[in-house]
Amino acid sequence: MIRYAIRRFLWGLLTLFVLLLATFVIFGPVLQGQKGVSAANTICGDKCSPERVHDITIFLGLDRPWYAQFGTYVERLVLGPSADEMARMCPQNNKATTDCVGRLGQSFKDQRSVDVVIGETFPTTLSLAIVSVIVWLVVSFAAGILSALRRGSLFDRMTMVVVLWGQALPIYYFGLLALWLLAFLPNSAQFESWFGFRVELFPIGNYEPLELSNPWPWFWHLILPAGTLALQFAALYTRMIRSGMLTALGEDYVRTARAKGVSPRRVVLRHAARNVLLPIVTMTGLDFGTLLGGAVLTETTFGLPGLGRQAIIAVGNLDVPMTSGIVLFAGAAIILANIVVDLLYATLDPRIRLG
Amino acid sequence: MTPLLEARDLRTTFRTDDGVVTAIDGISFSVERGQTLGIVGESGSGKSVTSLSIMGLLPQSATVSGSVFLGGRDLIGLPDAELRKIRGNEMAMIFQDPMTSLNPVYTVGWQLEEAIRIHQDMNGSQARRRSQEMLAAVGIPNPDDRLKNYPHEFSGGMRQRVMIAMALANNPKLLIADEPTTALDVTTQAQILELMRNLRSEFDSAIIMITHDLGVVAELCEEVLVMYGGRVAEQGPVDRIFAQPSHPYTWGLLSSMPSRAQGRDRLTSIPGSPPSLLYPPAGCRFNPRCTFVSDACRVDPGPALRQVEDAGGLDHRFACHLDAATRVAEAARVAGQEPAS
Ligand SMILES: Nc1ncnc2c1ncn2[C@@H]1O[C@H](COP(=O)(O)OP(=O)(O)O)[C@@H](O)[C@H]1O
Ligand SMILES: [Mg+2]
Repeated sequence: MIRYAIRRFLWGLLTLFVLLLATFVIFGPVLQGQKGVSAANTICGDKCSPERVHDITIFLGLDRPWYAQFGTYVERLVLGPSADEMARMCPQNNKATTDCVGRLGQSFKDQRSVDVVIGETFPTTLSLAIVSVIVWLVVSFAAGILSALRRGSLFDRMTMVVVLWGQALPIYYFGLLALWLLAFLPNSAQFESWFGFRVELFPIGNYEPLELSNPWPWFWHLILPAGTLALQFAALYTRMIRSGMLTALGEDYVRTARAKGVSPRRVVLRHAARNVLLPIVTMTGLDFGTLLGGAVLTETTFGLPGLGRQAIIAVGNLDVPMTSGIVLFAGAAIILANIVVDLLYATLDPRIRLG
Repeated sequence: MTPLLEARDLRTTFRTDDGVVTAIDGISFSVERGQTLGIVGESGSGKSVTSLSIMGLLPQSATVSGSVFLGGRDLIGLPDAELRKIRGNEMAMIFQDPMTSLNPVYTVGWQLEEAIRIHQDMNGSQARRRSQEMLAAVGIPNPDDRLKNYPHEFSGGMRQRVMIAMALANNPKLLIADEPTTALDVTTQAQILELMRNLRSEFDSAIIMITHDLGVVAELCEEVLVMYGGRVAEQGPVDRIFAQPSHPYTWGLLSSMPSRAQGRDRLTSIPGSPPSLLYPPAGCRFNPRCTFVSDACRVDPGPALRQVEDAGGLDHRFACHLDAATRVAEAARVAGQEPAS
């Protein structure tokens, strides 16, 4: 097991390196700039001093061949920015120097450290991912198991209809609908004219950091976005769990359990569901890992300051370090999720032989 | 003395998309304490449905009527909560395919202990000890270590031993074995049969041995029920039926036994295939494949089950219209093919 874990981890590192190379290859050419114009100029804008252009050129290694640029890039990522680099890129010195250059470089837009920006936006994304993964797992296990047990019943049919909706409706559509119906409308003048009162049922967008002493505001701000995001996954997972349960309940070992005199409840929860758990664990791990890179549509629709929205902003600004930094971060999250899933699967499924 | 198990006019139908399938069409039999009843027939004749009807393990789409008395209590119509106390306790079952009959994600020990603790008031370590005993009893070496293994770490034959251990763990009065050796290779088959023979005397359980192989019946059973198309073709003591088989279907089965084919050029298998139970032939279910068919055989409800004339006081029944002279002559011919064994 340990050996397997180590090997799996080394593979992850290799994958990460390939990803690093890929982001460099994809985003690198943007830095080369147009003929005759230094990219540093473009980045820095018209009002830029020649010193600043020079600093940027040195920092990105634009005066050196591409492999040297890549070397600097990797070196900075692994060792962190050198004191020299920090001094060069934070000339105003009105902020702590670590705020303006990070391992992932400096944003073109506002000269902030990409690391710091990711650090600021990631908690939002993480919160969204955690709340929605809990919501969709609870919902889909309950709905999936029940509808499998009552196959063909009204409940089963209705669940399948909702599943279809859930998978068909785009997040921004459902999200806007939910925002309007549950957040905007109850707190509008229109609503007051109808019912004589108005209420702030849900906030319109925004994020509230988690306070352990009072987690409610955090949760309250996350209900609608996480619910919307979860709906898509819940739909898919419900269908998977339902069909998995139907298969499992038809298996010979379930018949054996019943022949032993095991109660129906135990047959479902211990014998059948346990076998359905395996593929679901895999899917959950990978989906969760993907969400850690930012849920672009949900964050944008609900105005949540997360990684996904930050990525969109960065792309709009042609902010190469920020964009590639987020891509790299999201990729690393997926690689890590893959490792975790593999290790989890190996412990959960006794049939997997390690070595 | 009343028999341990008595099935009367057992009838099982399935609702399907195409219509009602009558898988078991009114069969009756009994099993005495400690005795072994064989149920034979080609695949599709309703053997598994019979055993699942007794165990109450059929899907929702099935309807069972008639009665099955076990220790004086009718199992048909018993609420599931009551039946659950009997299943795995007073009667237990092992299945055809040991490769898929154990849950892949739990250890063999976990599954054995579960079977024991459902019915017996034991703590964990007592159940563990009992599991060990059971694995040892079915001839699995190092039972202590093996309990920690998962099903995939056992061979097919070993898994079937585990299934047998699990079935016998609560000392059931009745063990139903649905083709327990069909999925195994020949050597393993012989070992499992040998094991069952030994365990039968050790545990003193009655056995219903379902098989499509009359050889197994000859080795293990006292009584036999020959099924065809959901009905009984012939039933009675094994010796009687081997000495004086009285139904053309039984003749077919006997002639296709490899051990009896020795000295002959080839095995004769019964031409044709078992009937569709959705649209069964009118009259005797076997008539489309029968060499001795006459017009009477094609008339519903088909031949009734009746006593063989000179059974010498034994309960030997068959269901066929064939005239006595031809029947006796043919019986002698088929029985005579057998090399003395
Ligand atoms: N779940 C079911 N639904 C519909 N028909 C069934 C079902 N199970 C069994 N049958 C019918 O019962 C017949 C007998 O099946 P089975 O008892 O499994 O035969 P055997 O065990 O003798 O090979 C099958 O041919 C099939 O037509
Ligand atoms: Mg069968």
